[in-house]
Amino acid sequence: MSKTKKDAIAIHVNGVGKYFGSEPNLVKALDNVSIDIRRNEFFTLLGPSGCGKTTLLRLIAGFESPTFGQMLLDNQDITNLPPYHRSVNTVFQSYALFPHLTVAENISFGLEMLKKPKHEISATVDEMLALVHMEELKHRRTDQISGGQQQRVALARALAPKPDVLLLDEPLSALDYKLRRGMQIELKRLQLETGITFIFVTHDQEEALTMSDRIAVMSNGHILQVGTPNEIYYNPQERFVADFIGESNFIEAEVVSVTKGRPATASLRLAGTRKTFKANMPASKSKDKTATVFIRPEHAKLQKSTRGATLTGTLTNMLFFGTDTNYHLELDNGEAFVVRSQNEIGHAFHPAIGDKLGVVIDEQAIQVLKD
Amino acid sequence: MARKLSEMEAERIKRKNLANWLLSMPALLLLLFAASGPLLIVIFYSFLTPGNYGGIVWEFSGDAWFKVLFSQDIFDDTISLSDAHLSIFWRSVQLSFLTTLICLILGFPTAYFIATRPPKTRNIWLFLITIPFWTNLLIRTFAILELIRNKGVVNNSLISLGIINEPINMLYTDMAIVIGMTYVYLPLMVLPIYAAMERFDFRYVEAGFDLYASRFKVMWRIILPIIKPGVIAGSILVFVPSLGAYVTPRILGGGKNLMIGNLIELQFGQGKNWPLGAALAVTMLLIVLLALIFYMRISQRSEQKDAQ
Ligand SMILES: Nc1ncnc2c1ncn2[C@@H]1O[C@H](COP(=O)(O)OP(=O)(O)OP(=O)(O)O)[C@@H](O)[C@H]1O
Ligand SMILES: [Mg+2]
Repeated sequence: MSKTKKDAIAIHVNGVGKYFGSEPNLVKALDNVSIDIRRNEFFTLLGPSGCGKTTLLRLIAGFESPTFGQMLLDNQDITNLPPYHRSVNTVFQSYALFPHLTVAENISFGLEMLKKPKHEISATVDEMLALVHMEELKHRRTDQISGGQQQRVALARALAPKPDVLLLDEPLSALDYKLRRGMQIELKRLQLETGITFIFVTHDQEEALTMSDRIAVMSNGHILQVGTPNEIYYNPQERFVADFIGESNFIEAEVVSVTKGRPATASLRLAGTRKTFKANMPASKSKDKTATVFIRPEHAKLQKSTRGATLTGTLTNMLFFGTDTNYHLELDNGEAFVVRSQNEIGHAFHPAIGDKLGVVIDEQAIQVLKD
Repeated sequence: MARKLSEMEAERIKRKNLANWLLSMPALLLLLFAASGPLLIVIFYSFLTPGNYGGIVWEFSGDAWFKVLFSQDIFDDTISLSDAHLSIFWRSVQLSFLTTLICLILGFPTAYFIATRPPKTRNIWLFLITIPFWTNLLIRTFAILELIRNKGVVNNSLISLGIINEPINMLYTDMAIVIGMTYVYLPLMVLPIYAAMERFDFRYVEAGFDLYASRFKVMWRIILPIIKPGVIAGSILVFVPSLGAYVTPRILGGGKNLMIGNLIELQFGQGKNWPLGAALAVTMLLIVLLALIFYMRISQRSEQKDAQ
């Protein structure tokens, strides 16, 4: 797999919308969505329930045709191509394993439809069974295996024909923690080895962050932001994205001045304090007098004295997470603020609830949101 | 320990089975008397001697059973296979089979159509399917007669459309019987297939398309195998009453083209040979049983073939 080929676009979604129903009950499941998914990329769609993830997958698979817009697969227009002519396989959210066939027959189904030679089919089936650790249940009917086992069969069935693109609709949601971890690593390995483009749907943000090359955060039929896990985590553009992934503090800031440039920078004052900070200013906000600023809890530091602190507040709660502790503060202006800090052995700092504490925030930790 | 547990399990199942038997006793008794009783009487009669004016004489005789398959020449007592009876049996099986096949070909798409309508309109379609049941069978059969006779609606319209010049002679043929029975029994095919289809999860169709199956393959490899129980039930529900049909062949076959039902009726009526009638009835029952066993074998074999 050459470098240029890897960077080629596998799926190009261009201004696609999908509406269900008609006027009084019109549902805009997807509205004007555009994304480019690269070849051999692990691309994740992340968003809350009902935001249109499954709908987007169904459009790519071809079960549904878009209300408007266009889709390309390897530069070929597939907008109206039936699903059986697309080299795209799906791991369904509901598995949809054929109940009249055994585990092995389910896996071989796609290969038979592609008229592969017999010996190749049986070799691939065995390979897939080994991959998902289901060799022993080969001849079981699919209604006689557990939910997690069904999920693994669904995965094997979709992988067997070696499609160009694999669509996975929450494929790991029914597995227990350990199996889930194992399958995550397995999936990642498969994706790297096979050169198949994975489009993965989840609403588990941790899973999205650890597995993806890039993530698209969706809400309400729109794609809000596309980026690497790093970009999404450290530079969320909108409050929804910041809020949906990880923990966040949102603070109102006063815009003191804006310096034009690319990007524009602003000097800001946080939550009624006097000190000013410099931060990149989104173009859409350049004329506003106030802005919402976002700070990750682990990017703020707690200190005993209020002197030299960026913000000050009273400790209201402490939540112990093993490696970390979350300190919940009520700032002097009444807003809530969370600081997450690592627990160290021999740490001398043991604040008590009700203590007046200081929060130190580095300038780099401050990000101005678009909305 | 493990042995003991398995013994306990066996004990538990035994107790459960006993309870099941006791609970189903009333139904079993009813079945025994209401279903087996008349059947036993029929079997019993088939071994008696016919009375001169119908009815039976209480005297054992295997004559009726002999006559089901063989006939004895009245002049020289030579024994030969009874062509008349055998050909009627064979025709009955053929016509019933044809009727079942046509009902399947018409009923399957109909059931599919209804099952794929939105839930609200489904009931309207089902309602329409059952409307013919509201009218008496005799009247419906005469309506068919009116449609297909030489000067009937079908021939007249075909002629006036210029498709044919001479009327097609349909009435009093085997075709008429098949048309009539198809019309009468079609709902019995549609309803069980619909019931299976309605439970069918159409996401399997999507999964099939996803795995490169064409529409034809999806129908053949996914939909049909899953709804097969409905198809089997429908086929049995059509085949069995077709084999015993009496009114339809009598009216549309014009009395020349007999089926087993008519032959039996003849023995109890004009023929005044009740034991022969009873023996013929039991024979029909055996044919149905054989057909069912044959059918089960075939569907089992296709299942095994699927499984390979
Ligand atoms: N066939 C349909 N008819 C009408 N509305 C639909 C249909 N399919 C989906 N929707 C609506 O479109 C929206 C998006 O649904 P979708 O299934 O894509 O959500 P999702 O992001 O996959 O959610 P989840 O995480 O719960 O699976 C929802 O509001 C849903 O109710
Ligand atoms: Mg979904």
